[in-house]
Amino acid sequence: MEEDKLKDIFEGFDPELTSDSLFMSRLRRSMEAVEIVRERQAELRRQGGRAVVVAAITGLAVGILLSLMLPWLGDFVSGISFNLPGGEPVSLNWTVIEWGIIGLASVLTSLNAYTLSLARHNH
Amino acid sequence: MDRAQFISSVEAVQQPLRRFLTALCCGDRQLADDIAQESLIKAYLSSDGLNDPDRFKAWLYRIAYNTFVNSKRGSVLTVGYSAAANIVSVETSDSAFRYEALYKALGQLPDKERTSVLLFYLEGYSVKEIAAISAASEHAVKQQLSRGRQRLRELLNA
Repeated sequence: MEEDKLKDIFEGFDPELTSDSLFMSRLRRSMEAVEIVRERQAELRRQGGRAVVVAAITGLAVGILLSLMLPWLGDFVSGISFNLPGGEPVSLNWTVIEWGIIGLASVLTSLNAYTLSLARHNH
Repeated sequence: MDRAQFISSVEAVQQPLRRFLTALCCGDRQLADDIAQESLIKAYLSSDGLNDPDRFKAWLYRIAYNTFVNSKRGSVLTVGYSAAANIVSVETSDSAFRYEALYKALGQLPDKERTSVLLFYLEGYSVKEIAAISAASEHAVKQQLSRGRQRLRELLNA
């Protein structure tokens, strides 16, 4: 078969397709579904961003507040004493413990604020 | 590219795209339409990455070809092409079987040769453009075209 015959076969190739309007309406429906999912994902990202900001501000506020209360916190913590079974008092680094308490309180507050912020938006 | 622009661009190319996919799927219009739909959704999702709107058609064909290849990997063929080639309709005048011989012949070609032949003859793409669409080298496309043409001539002459 000559090259021209092959060209002729394909030039005349015009198969019957399914309805154009049905095809395009099916496509439009799929695109709408995609857009709904996209919008929902964008909204979730925005909510997540807001929750992070709320958590950071809350954690920072609690940390600053507890830091300002450090003198009173130090008096309270240093008043706690432990003795070993043999009667010897336990020597602890109260500064590390105080800052540890402040850090832990800040982190826990941040986590709670993050969770509550997300839960509030999802209701 | 916004939604309206995308729809407008698709309306201009959907018919030739579906014709190409119908031939690529050897006459299976339903499969061709499913692949076309999936390709267009993928294209819509990544349309922000299309920097040159003039290359929309070629870019779309590339996505459609990759979607076709992935669909072949995922599907389980219940009938081989050789068995399908033996199915002959008695209704030769029925328009649905107008291209039966061509589809049978195309079905005998490997996917890459069939793709190259169809992109060349149906869509008028050059070897370089076909290489870009099918992510192959120009040398490989020339070989696929040459073998595909030779095989088609033999099958359609038989």
